[in-house]
Amino acid sequence: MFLIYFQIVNPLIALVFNVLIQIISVRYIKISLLKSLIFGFIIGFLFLLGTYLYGYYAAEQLAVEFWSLSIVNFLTYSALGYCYAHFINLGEGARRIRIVKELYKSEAGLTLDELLKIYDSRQMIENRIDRLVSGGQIILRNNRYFIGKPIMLYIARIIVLMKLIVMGKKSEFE
Amino acid sequence: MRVLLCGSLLFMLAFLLHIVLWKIHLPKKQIKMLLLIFFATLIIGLAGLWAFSLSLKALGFSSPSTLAECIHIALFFTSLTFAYIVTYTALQVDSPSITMVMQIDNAGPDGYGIMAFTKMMTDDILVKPRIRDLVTAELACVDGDKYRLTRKGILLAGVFIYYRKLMNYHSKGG
Repeated sequence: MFLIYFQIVNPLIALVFNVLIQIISVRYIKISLLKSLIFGFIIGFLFLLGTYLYGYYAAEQLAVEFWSLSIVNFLTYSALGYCYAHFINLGEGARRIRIVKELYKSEAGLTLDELLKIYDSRQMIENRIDRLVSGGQIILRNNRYFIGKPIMLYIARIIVLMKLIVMGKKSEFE
Repeated sequence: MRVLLCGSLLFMLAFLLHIVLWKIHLPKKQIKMLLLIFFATLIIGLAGLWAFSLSLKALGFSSPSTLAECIHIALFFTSLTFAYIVTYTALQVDSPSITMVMQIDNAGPDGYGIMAFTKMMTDDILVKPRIRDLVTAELACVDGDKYRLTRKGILLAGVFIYYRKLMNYHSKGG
């Protein structure tokens, strides 16, 4: 009975490990956010794998059940880990959250002009271009940009395709 | 195997239902509607599988037979739903980085001019719609000519500010 319910909550325990390791690695080891997310995810994944190998060998679980439950729990853990990574990314990159944080700092509130001054779109574009250039996703040559490593382009195409399927348009401004 | 099969089928059913409903009419409060569609599908689906288990068995389809299996399906389904909803929030708005990469790709072998981004990506496209989103989502309100956070907005900002403190992370982001 214990093993059955342990198998159900196993991805949640793995997620707790993921979150704890991620926070510790940023706070104390001072690694980058991206690396900490990958590190935390791997530790949680190893925990999940360890408990499944225990379930298979020590508790002599049936092979068919073992594989199907493993797939379910690895998918559950991956989905939860993805949500957590998205939450961290939201706090760093999302424009809405940045604006909310600026408004939070100002007790009297901010006018549109004040918000636009603080959250400068030109600066934001420069930051993002710098990130894309330093990551090699785009290349600057003779004052013109070209696609570098195509991974970001593939992601962009998938997102545009998903927008078309779900929302029926390529852009929010269409 | 039942958990994997039933959880996946229910998720696909909810996803199809959402796509069909979105084609008919795009709701105003999309996230609330998504939560309603997915969790109603889960509850009705599980109840249906439970109620018609004997008939389904006669057809050769083995439905969940214990409470533990139903909980497992619910957790699996919920994690996939949350992962989809966080992806959906990213589909709702145009990411500047994705837009940049697509513009460079569309420019072809001649590349994209360095000044074109700053001309194209103005405050009207990048910042003002996100400020309007905050008001629509009741995270901020307009008081005279100033924007202020609502209680909901203060809570949201507090979560992200607390989390940054917890990680002791000071990078500017953006």
